[in-house]
Amino acid sequence: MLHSFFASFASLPFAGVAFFGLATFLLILAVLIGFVIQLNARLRLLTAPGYDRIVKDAEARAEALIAEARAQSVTLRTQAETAATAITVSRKEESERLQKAEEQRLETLTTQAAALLTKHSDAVAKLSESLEAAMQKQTEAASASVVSEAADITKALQGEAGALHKIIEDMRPQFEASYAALAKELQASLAKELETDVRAAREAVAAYRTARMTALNAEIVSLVEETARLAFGQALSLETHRDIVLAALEQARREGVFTTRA
Amino acid sequence: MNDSLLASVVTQTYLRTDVTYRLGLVRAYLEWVFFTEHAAGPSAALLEKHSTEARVSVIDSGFLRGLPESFWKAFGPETLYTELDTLAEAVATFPTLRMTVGIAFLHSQTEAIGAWARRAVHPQVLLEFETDRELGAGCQIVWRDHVHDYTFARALQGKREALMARVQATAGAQSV
Repeated sequence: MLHSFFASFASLPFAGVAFFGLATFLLILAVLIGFVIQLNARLRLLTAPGYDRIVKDAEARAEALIAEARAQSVTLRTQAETAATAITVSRKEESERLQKAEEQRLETLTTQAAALLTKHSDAVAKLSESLEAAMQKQTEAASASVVSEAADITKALQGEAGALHKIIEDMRPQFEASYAALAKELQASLAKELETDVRAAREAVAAYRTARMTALNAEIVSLVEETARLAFGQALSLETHRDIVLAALEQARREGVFTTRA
Repeated sequence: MNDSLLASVVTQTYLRTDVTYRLGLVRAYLEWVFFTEHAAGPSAALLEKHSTEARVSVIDSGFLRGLPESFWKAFGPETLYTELDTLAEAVATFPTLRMTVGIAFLHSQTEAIGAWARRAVHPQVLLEFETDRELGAGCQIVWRDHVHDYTFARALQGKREALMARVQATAGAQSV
């Protein structure tokens, strides 16, 4: 087909040849542009080692910065430790100084307290002796008073007992007369109550006897009835029973039982 | 139903229970005649055969033999149950004299009492007996829903006051 295409152009005039040349030129130009683009890509690949070096430089700078920071931190820490040690030493010295002052103050107070205690011990001993003497004196006085009062009370009691004995002796006849009258009255009352009780008991016994006798009589009657009934029921012959039944029926007929209408 | 048919069954039967039982005997015999032997009707020979085969007692077979010829002629295979029901219904209308006595009577005593009742109370009366040994002698009767007591126990109750007076008099005489 290409052959036929060129063959068609061969048959064209000069303008056609010029057009064909221009087209060929454009085609070659396009091929060259593509080649240049491809070459540029390859060139970029060839310049990659430069990029790596930039990265490595950056990393080296970063490491240098880190190392410098570490060194500075060590320096700062050392300085802080030194300052702390100095402060600790200073506090310790101050504490020891205060402790020593406190101990001295306590010692002074102890000495003063011991002196005061010695002074007050003597006073207490003296006060105790005085109190003991006063108590002894009071006890002796109270004892003497009690003895005196006991004698007075004994004397008064003896007097009262004598008066009471006299009163009792004076009232004895009156007591005896009252007792005799009371005993007589009590005896009469008891005799009356006893008589009443005996009478009530006799009446109760009589009532019980009557009731019991009535019950016994009723029981006897029931026994007689039952005995007679059983004796009749068992001792009579069938013919006698039949005759009694016929007699009962005859009596019923005479009494008009069978004339009853519903 | 002919009244004579009813009279045939009831004449010599005084207890209501006996009437029911004997109607059962008649029914069993006639069923055997009509539906087992397929005979035209009862006969003396068939009655003998039935008494032997069914082992009917002497008393029962005597009752069946005592029924008149006219009684049996009233029944046929078709009318058997109708006639028997009519008989039972008629018997149910008979008056009942219910008696409670102190001892159980034999057949001869019940017959004597029944005969008296048919004569003195009602020609179709039927008796019913109960036994209560506490009554002693005599009888309690129930006639037309009324109770009448003619027992020795009742007689004793009437004499209770007199008996009590007698016992008290005896006890008083002994205590004195």
